[in-house]
Parts: sequence; structure tokens; C-alpha cells
Amino acid sequence: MNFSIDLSHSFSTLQGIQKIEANLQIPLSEYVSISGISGSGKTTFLRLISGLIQPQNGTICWGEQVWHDTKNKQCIPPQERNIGMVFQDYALFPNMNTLDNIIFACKEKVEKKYLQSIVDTLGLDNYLPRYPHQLSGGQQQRVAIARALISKPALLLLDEPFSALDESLKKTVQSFIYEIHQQNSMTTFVVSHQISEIKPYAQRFLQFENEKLLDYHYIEKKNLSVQGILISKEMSASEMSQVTLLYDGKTYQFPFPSSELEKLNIGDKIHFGIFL
Amino acid sequence: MEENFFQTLFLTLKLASLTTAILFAVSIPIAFYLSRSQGILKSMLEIIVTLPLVLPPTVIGFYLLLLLSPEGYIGFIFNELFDVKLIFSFTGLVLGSIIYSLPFMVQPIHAGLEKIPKQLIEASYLMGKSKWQTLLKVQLPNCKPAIYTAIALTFTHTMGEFGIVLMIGGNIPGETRLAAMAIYDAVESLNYQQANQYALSLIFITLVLLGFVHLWRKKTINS
Repeated sequence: MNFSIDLSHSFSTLQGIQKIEANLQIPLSEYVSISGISGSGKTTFLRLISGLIQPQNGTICWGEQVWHDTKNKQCIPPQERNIGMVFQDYALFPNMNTLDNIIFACKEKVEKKYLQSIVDTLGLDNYLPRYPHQLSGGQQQRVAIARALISKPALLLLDEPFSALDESLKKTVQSFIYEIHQQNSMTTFVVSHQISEIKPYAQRFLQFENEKLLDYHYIEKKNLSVQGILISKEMSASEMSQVTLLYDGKTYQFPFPSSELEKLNIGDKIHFGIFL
Repeated sequence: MEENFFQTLFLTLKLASLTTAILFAVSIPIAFYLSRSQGILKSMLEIIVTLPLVLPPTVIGFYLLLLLSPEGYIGFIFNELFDVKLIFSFTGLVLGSIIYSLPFMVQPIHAGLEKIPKQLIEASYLMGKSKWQTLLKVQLPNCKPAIYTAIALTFTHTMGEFGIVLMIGGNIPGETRLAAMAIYDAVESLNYQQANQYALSLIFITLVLLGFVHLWRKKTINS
């Protein structure tokens, strides 16, 4: 059974009209990484597959179930897709405390044991009576993650889910999400600027390049990393810049976090992934 | 103090309370529709809702008089079906007040709903909640200050109604005589002391209500 996505969609940005195209066949219960430079359409892609935006063209099928079909004017609303999502800005309900925010996502009766394990692992035990404005950014992000996991959704969409977490907590949260993904056979999409964050877990790597979401084929993790030489860098004012690396006589271009790139010099050796 | 002073004041408060309660129930679906729709129907509804705000009360009162009179469409139906006379009656006053005060309830709630970040609504949808569940559990609780403002505006505005009351209510003590009419009568007969009693009572009630609303808003914003 596959999650089949074949869509094209245009949307307005500050830079003008942006188009995204995707044609993917993703086996259900895979852990998928999505990367790309800022503004390439990663968040829009998640919104398209969740049904929050209707694609202008194409089809989205979850196994045998058609979620969206432009030609036949068929569309299943987001409420019926069984999706858990962590929004980039968390989208916690200001009128609910932490506990209520989490259990609001429950479609059936709350599994107390499961709730407790989520609360314990994400370190939220002391914050349950607090309201979102009484929490730090990292705490809010953990509540958003808890809320997305509590209903054990079939499809888990995580938009920059670790950006506000400190390094020690990041690893715990990453492995906890992976564990739940494995236990419940969730199909998981993680948008991240730092591929290194999800590299140990992801089975499939999607990347936006020139408006297209490219699917780098399933790879063995051992093939992931090779060492290239930095031959040029194009610094950008945005979060991501562009680097050109030389490996085995060929050049490869990648988006690269601007903050990290500042520290590197031409000639430096950098590990990077080649997906064949 | 005038013989019917408390009766008139009570009737004024009764009209304001009833109008506010009915308008609250009516305005939520209207504001919800306006906040999530686009297109010509939305624009038309917005214009209709705004109309009582810009039209002179006497104009609205005149057409309500025609509609609610036993020969008018609405008046005829009520008269024939329920044996209820709308013109120069308290029921007619309630109907007139609902129309006249509609924008004071709808517009603040509409503005409050529009201010709610779209992602909160989307998050609720993804959690399997329907549009109405989202409205009741996410949108309305997060625009409480706007709701308090709408309630206060509608209540105080209805209390001070004059033009429409004059046109469709008349001045029947215990039935349609409201505080604003009583002030007008008192001034006409140069009874400034009585006018003062009514006016000060209205100011006092309005100040108390606005004070409460201010406190509620402050409490909601700080919590």
C-alpha cells in the first residue's frame, strides 16, 4: 500500500508566484524527510497533503482511499484523514492549558498510560496546568508534539519540530517520535533544515529543487555520507545558502544553513549525502 | 419621583436584556458565516448588517411601522397566525430593537473571529473537530473580549433607543414606555428633575456595565 501524491500547485509569496510539483509513491509507514531552501514550499506541501489547502491539479491517494482528485472534484476533508501535525509556530489553543491542548486531539477516550508516557518523555509533567503564554518556545513545541502523537494518527506531519529544543532534549524527542512511529506504523513526514537531525531515522529523502519535490530513492544509511571539498559558496541573507562541493571529479550543489556556512572556508572537507 | 419610574426602568432593562440575548444567538452564525466566506453573498450580508448603523432610526422606524402594522407583511402574519399585535406593543419593540442593534452585536464578534490565527482553526480540523465544534471550543473562547464588547454595546445601545421606539412603540406606560421616551416627555413638560432621574439612572447602569466589561476583558486578556 502506498501514499500516492501527484500534484501541482501555485501560490503567492513575497517573491512572486511559486509553483510546486510532486509525483511520489511512498510506502505507508515510512519515515520521510523533506528538505529544501526557505520558501521552496515545504510547509505548503504539508498543508496540501493534509487537506488544509486544495491542490489546483492532481490526485492524492492514501492506499485505496482517494483523498483528493481534482478531475473528479473529489476531496476528503482534513477531519477525516486521521492526521497529526506539528505546526511551525505550534498553533496551541490559547484558551486551553497544556493538558487540555493535548487531550483535545484525542478522537476517542484518552489512553491514560500512553498519555503519561508522552508527558513523561517530553518532560511536560510540571507544565500540565499552564497555558501556552506561560510556556517557553521549547515547552510549547513539546506540547505541540504531544498533541500530534496522542491520537496515534496514520499520517504524522512535523514541520520543523525540533527547532526550539535544546540539544540534549532534541535527541530524546527524536528517538521517542521514531519509537512511536515504529510501534504504530505511522507514515511520518518531517520537514527540517538540518538533515543531520533526521538522518539516522529517515528511510526516504525528499528535496525541493527548482519547484519540484524530488524523491531520492530509498537508500541504505551506510551509503549516505561521502566527503567532498567545498569549492564555492554563495551566501544568502536567508536561512539557507548554496554550496558547491567537489567529489570524485564531479560537482554537487546543495542548500546549506547560512549560519554554518559562515564558519567554513573554500577547500574545507564536508560530509554530504549522495542518493543513488 | 414619577409613579411609573421603576416600571419604565424595568421595561427598558427587560427590552435591552431580551434584545441582547436574542441578538447574541442570531449573530454568532452570521458572524461565523462572514468570517469564513468570500464573494458577493458575503458583501451583501455585510451591507445589510451595516445598514441600521448608517440609516437614521426614523427611516428604519418608518419602514418597520409599515411592515409590522396589521396591514404590513410581518404584522399581518403575526396577527392572523398568532393573534399578536406587533405595532405599539412590547413584542414589536423587541423586533425593532433586534434589527436596529444588529450591527452592534455582529460586527465586534465578526472582527474577533477574523483576528483568530488561521492555524488554530486548521489545527482543530486536523484533530477531527467539525466546523461547529471548532467554533464553540476554539474560536468563540478565543474571542471573548470581542464578545464582551458586543454584548455591552448592544445592551447599552438598546437602552438608549429613541427613534424606533417613537415610531413603532409609542409611549404606553408599562407596555412601550422606555427610559429614553420618559426623558423626552419630561423635558417637553420642563420637568428637568424627572429627566435627570432617568438620565442619571441610564448613565449609572451604563457605567456599571462598561466597568464589568472592562474588568472581564482585562481578566481574559491577562489570563
